[in-house]
Amino acid sequence: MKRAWAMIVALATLAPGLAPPAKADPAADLKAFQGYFQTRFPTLALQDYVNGPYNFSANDRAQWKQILEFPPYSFAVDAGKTAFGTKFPDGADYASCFPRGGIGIAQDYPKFDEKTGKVVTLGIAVNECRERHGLKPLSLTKGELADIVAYMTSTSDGKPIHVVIPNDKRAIAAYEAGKEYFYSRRGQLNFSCASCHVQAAGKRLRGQYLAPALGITASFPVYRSKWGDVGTLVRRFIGCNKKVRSVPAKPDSAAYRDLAYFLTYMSNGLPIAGPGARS
Amino acid sequence: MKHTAILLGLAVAVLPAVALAATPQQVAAGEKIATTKSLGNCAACHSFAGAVEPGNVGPALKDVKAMIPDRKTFYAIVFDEQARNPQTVMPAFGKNLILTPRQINEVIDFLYTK
Amino acid sequence: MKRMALVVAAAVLGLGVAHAAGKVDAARAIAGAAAKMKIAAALDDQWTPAIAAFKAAKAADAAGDYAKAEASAKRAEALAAASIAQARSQKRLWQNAVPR
Repeated sequence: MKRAWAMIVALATLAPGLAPPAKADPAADLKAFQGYFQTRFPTLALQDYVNGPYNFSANDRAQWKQILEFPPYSFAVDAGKTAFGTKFPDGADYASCFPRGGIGIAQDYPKFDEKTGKVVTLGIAVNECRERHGLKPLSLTKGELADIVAYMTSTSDGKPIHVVIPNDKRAIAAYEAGKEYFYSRRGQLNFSCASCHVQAAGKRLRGQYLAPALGITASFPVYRSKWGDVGTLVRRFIGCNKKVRSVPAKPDSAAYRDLAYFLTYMSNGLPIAGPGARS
Repeated sequence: MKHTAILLGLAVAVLPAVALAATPQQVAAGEKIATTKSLGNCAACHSFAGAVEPGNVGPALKDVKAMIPDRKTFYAIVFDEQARNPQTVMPAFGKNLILTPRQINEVIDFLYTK
Repeated sequence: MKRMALVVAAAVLGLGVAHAAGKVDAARAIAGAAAKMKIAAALDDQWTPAIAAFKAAKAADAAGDYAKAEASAKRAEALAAASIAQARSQKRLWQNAVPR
């Protein structure tokens, strides 16, 4: 009996799924994550990953390049620039809420807010700014807020993504929660984010190439032909959740904040390429 | 005449033990399930003859009889492939109640024609 | 004639009893589904088909189709149970998918 127990304990220690979770090490995770893709697609350079699904088909890439000659997101960027520059009723403006007046800072988001202990995406920061000045928050998925974020992101074009996970228990917990969300299977179809965007990355779901998770956040907000307008990263999260037949989280939920934190951090060092265009 | 009737009766009696040939209706039902998004949507990940814009996440379904000769194994794969292969991305069509046992059998009937 | 009337009366009574029993069974199945779905929601893993089946059960119940209400509610409960099993097993299995 004793021997049987000893064997069970030994087996449990050996099985990777049953091993106690290792100490959180975002930097090591980042290295393993980027390394995984570089081993799988040795011909792609790191910055190529911001082109997502268009790395895998010359035909789709040519069509995409053609679309980009008259970028479908340019209306959103223009509208966003106008909204961004409009003064609030109290005389303040968006620029007053952000470092460097909000120009060229998108690569630093999502950020951990030490005061609230929560992760703040650029969209949520825009809403916090509005609320501080007596305005109602906007929808985090599309419309005016997506336009403003598209404009702000356009001023960061090419800047390397630089998400910071400070040495704060709450920040590390948020990162770990986002990581768990990303790898956990959910919905009736039993897919995790990673099922499609890590394991099956570069393969086709019907006619569509699945974008690798590496670099996937760099082009948001995106104009999607399927949507017919510009949407934020959280809009895509909601769409993916529904597709796997899972009830989506709330746009400003901790689940989505933390997921964006983990996922964007995994692309640290890659250039901002948003707003982007996708089919 | 009498002999034929007896033979026929015998044949019907032993049929379930042998393999029941699928009816055209069952094959057609299976095809609909395999190609319809809200049902099995096999074509999302697998190519097979007649599939429109099939995906390539999973293996191509060709010469399926040779690929998976045992029907019970085939049923187990569609029902819950994760039980056999923990890292698969294939949905558990039976376990997660996406398809009924009858629908799974119809899909198998259809794919055995490929 | 008298006998006939008795038979009819018995049949009507029987139907009424069956109807009442169906209503009770449907209500019990709906309550069972609601309880399981509450657990699934708390685990952040509610499936959209469970919500759809539950809505169908409530609608059938309101329309007096208790057999359908019971069947839909049982499906909602089964879906919720499967999502709970998924959420609980993923609490440890997710780590197997992390690139190392």
